[in-house]
Amino acid sequence: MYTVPPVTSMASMQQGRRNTDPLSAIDLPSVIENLPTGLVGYGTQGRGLDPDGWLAQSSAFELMQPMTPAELLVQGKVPVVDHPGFTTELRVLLDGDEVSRTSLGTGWFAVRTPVAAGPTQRHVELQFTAVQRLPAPDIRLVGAYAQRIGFEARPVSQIQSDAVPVALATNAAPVSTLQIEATRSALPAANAGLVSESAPLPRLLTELEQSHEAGVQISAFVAPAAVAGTTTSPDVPTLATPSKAPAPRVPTASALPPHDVEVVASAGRDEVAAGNSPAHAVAAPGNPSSSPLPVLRTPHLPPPPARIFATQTVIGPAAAPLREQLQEMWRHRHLFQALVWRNIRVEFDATRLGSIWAIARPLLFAAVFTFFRNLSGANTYVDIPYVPYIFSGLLLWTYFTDVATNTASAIRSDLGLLTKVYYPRLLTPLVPAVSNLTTLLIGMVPLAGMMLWMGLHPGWMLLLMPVVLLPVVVLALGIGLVVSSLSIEDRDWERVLAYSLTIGLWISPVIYSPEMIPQHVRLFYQLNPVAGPLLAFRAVLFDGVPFPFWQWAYSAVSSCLVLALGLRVFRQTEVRLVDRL
Amino acid sequence: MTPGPATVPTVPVPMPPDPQPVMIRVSGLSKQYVRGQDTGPSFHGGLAALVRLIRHQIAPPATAIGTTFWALDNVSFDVRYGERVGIVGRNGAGKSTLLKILSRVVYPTAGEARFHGRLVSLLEVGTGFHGDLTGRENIFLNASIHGLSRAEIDARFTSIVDFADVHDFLDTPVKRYSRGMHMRLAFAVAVHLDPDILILDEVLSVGDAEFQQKCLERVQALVADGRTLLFVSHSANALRAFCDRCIWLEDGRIRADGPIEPVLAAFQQSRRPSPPDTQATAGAPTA
Repeated sequence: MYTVPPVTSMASMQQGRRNTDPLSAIDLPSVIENLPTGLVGYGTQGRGLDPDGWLAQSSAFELMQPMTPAELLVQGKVPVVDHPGFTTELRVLLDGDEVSRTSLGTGWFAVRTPVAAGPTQRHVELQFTAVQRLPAPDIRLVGAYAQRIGFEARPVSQIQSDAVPVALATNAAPVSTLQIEATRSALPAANAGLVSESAPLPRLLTELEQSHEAGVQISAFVAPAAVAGTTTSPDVPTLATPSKAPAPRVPTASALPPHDVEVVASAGRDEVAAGNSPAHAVAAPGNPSSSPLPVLRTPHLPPPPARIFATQTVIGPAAAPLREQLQEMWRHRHLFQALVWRNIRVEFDATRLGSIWAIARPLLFAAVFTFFRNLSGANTYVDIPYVPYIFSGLLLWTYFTDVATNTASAIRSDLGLLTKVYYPRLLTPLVPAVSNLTTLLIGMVPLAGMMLWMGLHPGWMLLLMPVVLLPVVVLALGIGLVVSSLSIEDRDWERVLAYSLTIGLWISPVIYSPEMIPQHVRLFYQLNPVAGPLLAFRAVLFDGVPFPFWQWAYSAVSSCLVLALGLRVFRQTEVRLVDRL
Repeated sequence: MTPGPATVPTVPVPMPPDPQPVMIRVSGLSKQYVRGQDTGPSFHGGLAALVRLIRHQIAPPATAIGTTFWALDNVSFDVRYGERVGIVGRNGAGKSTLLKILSRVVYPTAGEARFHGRLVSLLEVGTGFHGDLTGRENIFLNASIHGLSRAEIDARFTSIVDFADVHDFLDTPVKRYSRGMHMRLAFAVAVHLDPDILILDEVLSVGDAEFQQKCLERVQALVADGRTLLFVSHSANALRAFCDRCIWLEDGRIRADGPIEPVLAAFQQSRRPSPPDTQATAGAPTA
């Protein structure tokens, strides 16, 4: 940062504050020029100068005065808004002291004030005694259009041109020369890097006048491209950068995209044209008078791409219709993939044994149940070998409970995302249903081993596997959605779900066959919507087991109803989801 | 110095063409919050909650009058293409609520907002990073959260990694990253999202000075490219750097809306009842 010699109280006060601001990393320039692009990267330290170059009645800047003998230059134009006879007075204050007072008529002006040698940070204030209002809708009160404000080194060769108070309407050459030389000498390289990002743009005032004053005065201007191009020229001398200022951190010449280099080249030609032959300079500006006027407030933007207006998002107090939500989810399918992948990666990578743990629980359960069944000799009414029967049941049951509980807690576990960024909320509870399929798949490996060992094999009905799994997914989702909606209000519901699922293991055909259930209560037993898919799962896995069609159909219908309920409830909750969490 | 010659022809300055199209239209936006501990239904009221949810009764009856307050109260404004709007206000004035509604993180209680194009909001840097995933995976996850497709992420990947400068740690889980690396990566993803509307909420204060400079340049480049910007900051200098317009919120309402300097000055004046020198207070970062 800068070490500033004690100049005035105001300047040092501001310096002190600036050090506490993270934005102090921006170097102070010694000149503001090439408006509006020159203002990019500077705007932190000034006031009263709009980005498009208009000076308000009062403006102030922090500028760095170079080491060499310098003068303070304020160059610009008082516009003709209503009548050409308008006059105003420009007061220039340096560190709070008035150093010059100049009356100005409409047209170009250049006010130069010699100042003592630096380097130091200076507080420059400009005040106009009278201002004009720009035509509607841009109704700003402006003193003048600024072209350059800043300190300028005074080489001896140039001193004679100081005497020219630059009444330029009749003489084109001096301004061109001045401007380009000044640009060469004064701009800190740090600014050049920032400026280079945006393409050189026409100046508001140039365009205004070109189309309406028939080129009478425009001859004084060099094409804007030339100015901006010169700014980014790699041979910007460091003369204006005070020795105490840090070396520019931003890349300058090396970072310039190729097209900027070309601009420099063409700028050079323009400069030559403007400097050598004033007559030619009239034709030099690259803006045909037919070009559209820029909007005053934000004058130099690329036109908005049409695709922006192809979509409109409406934010209202209620959730969007389900159809729109589903479309939006489809557009976010990449996110869904990424979230599923995240869950899988975290599940199986947090510990090396991830895939073992995935099947350990059903394997252990199967082992324990088999052990007790064999010891007790209990009849479970299972026709096929017991171990694959119970293991396959446990696999599907584990998947069902995992999806239901993970769905129910998904909102809570994705809290960090949901409260910070928008994406279709419904994606979050859908993720566990897909990510848990990996566990199911891994579990199939030991199951296949058992079946080979026991001489069991699947029949053609294995092709129906998706149809069998679908009601389980739908039911688990529906239950999970209902519980997650309720548990946003009240976490007890997650407990209720956990206990219900524990009990569900014993009232579902997981470790025994429904044949074991007495005939007169079997109808109630079959009301359990998980029962159908559990039986159907065995039917598709083991050839010869009959497919329980009606139970499956009942399960499919009831699962869809539960999902519909879950969706409805979740969409109600979604609206105040983040408020409640 | 001598004024310019009086030979200037009197030509009326023409009307500018139509202004830029509206990108964001906020009309009558309001948001009500319940103050203090929410006395939601307990378990025995749970079935009632379920019934209520099914019956579309969204808001539970307020337990007492006066426990609610309006964080935003009938706020309306337009933001046109390319405008850079700073939002100032005291803590609790509704700035963050406004941005959260526009980011669609929370729903408004009443009113409506419409916007065009892709809106990316950075309410917090590093949102969506998962410690167990590698840097590479987190780049993809984080970018897709903000709505980028796989191909779009692929196209930006190198540039993101260069910006964050984490080449050697791409396949290291993010939880092993240093705090600085974590933030660099997060911001790198964020500034490469290529939004039409960018919403920033005090997120520019990450990293060391050098990285901050890099972030500033990147955001400035986005802004110069015609992106519409909504920017909440407590730093007047940051606001001046990025914004040409300022909205001053107070108690959930718009107190002032206009060019940055006068609004900012008025806001700062209001914070210090009798400043001896407004100029001296102009650059002060607000506490």
